[in-house]
Amino acid sequence: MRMSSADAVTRERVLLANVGETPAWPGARTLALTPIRSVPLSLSTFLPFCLSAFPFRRSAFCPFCPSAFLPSCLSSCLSAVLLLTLGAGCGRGPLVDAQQVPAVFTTQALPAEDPDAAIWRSVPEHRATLIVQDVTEPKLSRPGVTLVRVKAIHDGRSIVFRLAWTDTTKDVIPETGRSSDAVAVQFAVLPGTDLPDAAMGETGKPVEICYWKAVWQDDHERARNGGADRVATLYPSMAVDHYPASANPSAQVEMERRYAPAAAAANPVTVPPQAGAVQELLAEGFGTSMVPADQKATGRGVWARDTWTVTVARPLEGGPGRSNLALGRRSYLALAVWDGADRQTGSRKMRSGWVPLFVEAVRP
Amino acid sequence: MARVHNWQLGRDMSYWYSESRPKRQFGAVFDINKCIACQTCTLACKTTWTSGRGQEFMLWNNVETKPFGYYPLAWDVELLNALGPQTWDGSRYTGRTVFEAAPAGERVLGWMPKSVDYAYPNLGEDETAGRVDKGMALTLPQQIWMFYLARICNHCTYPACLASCPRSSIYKRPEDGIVVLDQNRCRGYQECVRACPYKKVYFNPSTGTSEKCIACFPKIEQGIQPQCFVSCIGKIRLQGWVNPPDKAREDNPIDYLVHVRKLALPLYPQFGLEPNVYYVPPVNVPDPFLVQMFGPGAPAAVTTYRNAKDDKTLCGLFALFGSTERTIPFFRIQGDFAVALDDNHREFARVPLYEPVHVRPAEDRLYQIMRSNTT
Repeated sequence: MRMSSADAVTRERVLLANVGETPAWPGARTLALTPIRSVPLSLSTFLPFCLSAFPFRRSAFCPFCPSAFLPSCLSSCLSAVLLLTLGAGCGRGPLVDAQQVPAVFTTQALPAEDPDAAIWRSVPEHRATLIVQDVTEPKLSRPGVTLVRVKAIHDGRSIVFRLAWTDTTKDVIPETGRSSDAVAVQFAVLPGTDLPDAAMGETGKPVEICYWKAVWQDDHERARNGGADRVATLYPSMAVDHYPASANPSAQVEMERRYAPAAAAANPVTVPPQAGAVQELLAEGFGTSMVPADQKATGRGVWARDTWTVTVARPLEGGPGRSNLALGRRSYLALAVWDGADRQTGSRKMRSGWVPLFVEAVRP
Repeated sequence: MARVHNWQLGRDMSYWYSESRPKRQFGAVFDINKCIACQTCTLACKTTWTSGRGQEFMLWNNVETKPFGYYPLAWDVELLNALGPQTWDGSRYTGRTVFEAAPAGERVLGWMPKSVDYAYPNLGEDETAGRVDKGMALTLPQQIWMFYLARICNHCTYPACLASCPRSSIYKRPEDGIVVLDQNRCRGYQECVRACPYKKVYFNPSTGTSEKCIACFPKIEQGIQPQCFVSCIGKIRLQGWVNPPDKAREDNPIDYLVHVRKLALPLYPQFGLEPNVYYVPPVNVPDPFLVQMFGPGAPAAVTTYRNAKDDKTLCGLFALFGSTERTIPFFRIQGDFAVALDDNHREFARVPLYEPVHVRPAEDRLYQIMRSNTT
């Protein structure tokens, strides 16, 4: 099948758009979601790139060597070649957007809790780099996960992020000296490009964080399977003769206050989120995070073959005091990953700076 | 980092927050010479506070044998090793505190235990510092030694747990200086577990938050002493209020033992936290070990204690230990009685210094029989 040069240009726009408000146009949806394995490489496909007044304002990164700055004209050709090559029958990997997270639009059901859904295969991916958190003490002393592969898909109302990173151990239940694997996606609450510090915001410039934690998910799964609680899972052979809390049903509330005050106080870290394993937080700088009453995010993670793959779903419009991701516009997100085996928790984390996020406009 | 004054070190030091002493500071004295490691204190605390899910391993009060016992394993030797030389120039500490020795990127020099380190709290129990060899006999001074160290949270003036929390979830109550961990605010980072040099904060895997000794503050608020104090069989403990040296009062039991007689000493003062639980050092232990554990005042305290039997004030004060459930803010010796006084200096308890003695003659003249000596 030969594609017209116009179609090729359209695909190029969807994949590499680095301008703020490019509207979508008819035909783009179909092309974006169709695997492009069968596109032949022909000069006529690429000539329009070189000759058109295509607004590549700045040079792009070579997707294989982020430190190499290419002149924009060459980069557009090269990127197009590389991207199309990747998709064109070598069957090696997903489409990669080096510039940003492109959240593509779909009318299909969103895979809010399914990281392995088939629909993800056709969604382009962005590779976000993580660095150690070294802004505030305690800092992370040993680097861990440095790469998170991010995909995003939305239906005009909700958006789902798929995050994948390498983690050789599955760390779920925290105990002394070990924490739960976790990942977080952060958004700026106030619109505009005057972003707060990516390190959890600033006073007066709040950030909203969608925080997935493996232990909360495990809590739900164990409850569904009628299984053991956290302590019995950590110590399968444990035996306890008597808990005062179980002796006197009418004193249960008082017993819980005394022996599990965090549970009695409904500490958000003690009780897993209602639905799914994602908790939303608001923060204005490190050490200030709080959990608002209105929780709308959900998500699910799967650990297989040394990789965590987690979906985080949230409404595009968070409402007043929360972040709103406008359609057809660029916003930003930041990421953080915690590896429980390395006792990464709290501020001991790998984090990214602000990564551009482009939420594709709704197409009829 | 701020500069604060630590009187136990005889100098200023660095701390994460600026100096802010409470209205009254919870203080305690434990007389190690009387402890028999019956663990009644441990059970009193466990029954009251740590009988919940996830708290099974926690001993907010524990009693370990020194030199070879620990809970958790190696809690003190790990830190003593990492801290480097802990030197004193008279009563002035010339080494580093855990705050001053904090590595880059950290607020406190600490170390993170593993859950298995809590699994054997009786390790080293009743183990002596040397072997009992054939032909050995009891001599004074003793050839081998061991002692029991009963420990609770020290409710330090400069807590490392408080300084280490990135969310400021730990605070010191302004009314009584008791250090408390906010169970609503904690998000289970375990920085406090890592930072506390005495390892008296514990992570609860069931709730995902950390927990610690609360000095039974609901009891303190009612003017009565904590569970572990009240249940002590050996009557080794007394709870009161401790002042900094410039505000010390002779009629305050804790001030008297700590500041006036310098008989009660802080635990590992070189860590720099200004702990508020003070110990009368064991008299059977060699000086170097005591100095490392209680500071340079230990040998003099041992001498004072050995001569206490001739000191009416000291004898009377020790008689007040374990004599009442109420906190003893003030005391006085009145004749042959030790009198406990409340906040308004009004008597609420008195203890005789001398046990009444009755002599029963061996022969019962009335019944023409010799009395038996068994009871």
